[in-house]
Amino acid sequence: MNVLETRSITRIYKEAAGEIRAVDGISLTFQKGEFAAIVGPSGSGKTTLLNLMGGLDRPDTGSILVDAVDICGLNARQLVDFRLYNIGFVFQAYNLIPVLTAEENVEFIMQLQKRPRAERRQRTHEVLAAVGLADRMKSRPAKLSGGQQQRVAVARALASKPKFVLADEPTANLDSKSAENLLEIMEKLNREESITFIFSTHDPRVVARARRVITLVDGKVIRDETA
Amino acid sequence: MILILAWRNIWRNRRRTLITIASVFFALLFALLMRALQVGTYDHMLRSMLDAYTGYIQVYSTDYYYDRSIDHLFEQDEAVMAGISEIPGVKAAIPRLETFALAITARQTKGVMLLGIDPEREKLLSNPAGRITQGRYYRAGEGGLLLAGRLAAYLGVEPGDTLTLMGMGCQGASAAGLFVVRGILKLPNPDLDRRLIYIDLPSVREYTGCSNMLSSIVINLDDVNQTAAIRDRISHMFSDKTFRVLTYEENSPELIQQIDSDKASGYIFLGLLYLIVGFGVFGTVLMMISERRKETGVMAAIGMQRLKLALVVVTEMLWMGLLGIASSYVVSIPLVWYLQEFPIRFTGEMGEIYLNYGLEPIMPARLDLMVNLWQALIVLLIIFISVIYPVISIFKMKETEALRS
Ligand SMILES: Nc1ncnc2c1ncn2[C@@H]1O[C@H](COP(=O)(O)OP(=O)(O)OP(=O)(O)O)[C@@H](O)[C@H]1O
Ligand SMILES: [Mg+2]
Repeated sequence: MNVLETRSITRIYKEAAGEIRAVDGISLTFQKGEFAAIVGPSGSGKTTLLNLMGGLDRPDTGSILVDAVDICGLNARQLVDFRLYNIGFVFQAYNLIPVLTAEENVEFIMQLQKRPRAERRQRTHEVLAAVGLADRMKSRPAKLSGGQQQRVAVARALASKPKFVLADEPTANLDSKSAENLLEIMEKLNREESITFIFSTHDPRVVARARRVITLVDGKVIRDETA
Repeated sequence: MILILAWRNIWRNRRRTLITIASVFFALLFALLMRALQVGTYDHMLRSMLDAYTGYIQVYSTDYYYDRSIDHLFEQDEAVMAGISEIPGVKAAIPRLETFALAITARQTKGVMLLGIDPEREKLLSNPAGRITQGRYYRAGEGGLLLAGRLAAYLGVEPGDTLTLMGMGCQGASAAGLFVVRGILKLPNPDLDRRLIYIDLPSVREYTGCSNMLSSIVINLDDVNQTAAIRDRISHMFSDKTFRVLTYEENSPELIQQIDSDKASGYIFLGLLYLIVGFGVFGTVLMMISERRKETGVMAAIGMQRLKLALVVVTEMLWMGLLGIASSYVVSIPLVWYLQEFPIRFTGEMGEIYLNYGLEPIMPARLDLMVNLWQALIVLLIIFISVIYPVISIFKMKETEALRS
């Protein structure tokens, strides 16, 4: 079953110099348990596509279905809740709320979901352990390395058991070792808990780990290969 | 969660937060002290004036109220006087007969205000006995005149001299008499000091031929705040409409106006002060939200509703505001209380000026919780106004743009 489907979505930016078709008629489907990379040159529309799929932005044409629900029909408030309950996000950097500890950052999302405290605690430990940070739970983001911060972000994205996790260049700010490590963790979660990951990247080593690679150029999918 | 986020957020930039809190603290402290001293000073002045001459409540015949003619006096009724005196909160009810006269000496003639008093009871209000500078006060059963200082100087009269008075008497008769000057006194009000003559009631009644008549009953109270309530009670005693019972405010609106306009200039100053604080607070909140654009975008993206994001900012500002308010109260209330109990005392020239106006040379503060509450509400209002724009911008924010920043 498709967890996510885009049907010829287009996102056009109208600039003084003319329109930019950042996403230009993209149709893709993603199944549960996928580990997919979106690649392409800078400006090819990766971020724009991920934002659309994550309900952070709305397409100008086309529709986006999450578990067969068209998210383009939701109003702004509904969309926020939709994201809260269905999608995990990992951004390139500065993902975490600086005044909250690693543990609190992870718990935060479940607090927004109004989950009971005991459940939150347990799940927080679980996901932080899964990303190998059980011993850094009480640290604030500033005390964590870039790689550790991204792992907390992954833990947070997983905490609420989303349908899929969207990650826009999660390793871009990391040294290669940390990047490796983050990818390993994501892979493991994908393998063992069949978490669906869709991430964009520039990094060939990251691409190498993906099971499906979608290549964008000028807002169009030019290749979609599954290993 | 919102409370914790807000609390931790304000301490991210400790210095800026402390500066913001300090600006609220100092502005409010200053405002509270200034208001307390202002209110205290007006109170002191008003009380001195009321105590010195006009009393808090006056009773006139209705006719006299509209036309201060000697034909509109009323008869002194001891039962009524006693009735008024018995009302709780009334310090004294004092009979007076006021009329206009010409004071004549060999050198000068001058229009004067002749104030007929009961020498004993008047001690409870204007207390002329305590203002004597030359000569002496009435002795028991004795009559005569007490002249205000500047008037006496103008007329060239001294204690022991006699003074001729001429004027209107009751029932169209003319009045004339020769009276001994017992003493000279100094009145706080310069205007009265130029034209007032005290006379004992028996003498003025004999002189005018208005036996047992009064022009007013003047009432002194323990507490100025009870004025209106006691006025109402006294009004009920005179239900036949031939009497008017007035508070000092009704009776001398000019004075109240003057105090009010003075207060207004104080308000303008406070307004400016708060405007400055307002801009400071606004600047802080603007910096806060612009620094946290990205972070706010992340929170919105992962599923935090705008209302909650806005509440975090509002709560942060409230935390700062409340810290400022609380600290200024903690400092100002004991300070104001101290200045109320132990007022600033003027010495030297300033003290002289006060003394010349018959005022005790003090600047008392007045601890008035209502006034204080108002200031706090104004600060809160400033905070609410200053967060309007940030809140709107949070609602308008686009996640995609915030994330890119
Ligand atoms: N808010 C915007 N307003 C105008 N143009 C935009 C906006 N966001 C993106 N674009 C344009 O849309 C196109 C796609 O941008 P996008 O950020 O999706 O590319 P990308 O593949 O993520 O690039 P990168 O690898 O550099 O992150 C680019 O030409 C970009 O300039
Ligand atoms: Mg991008």
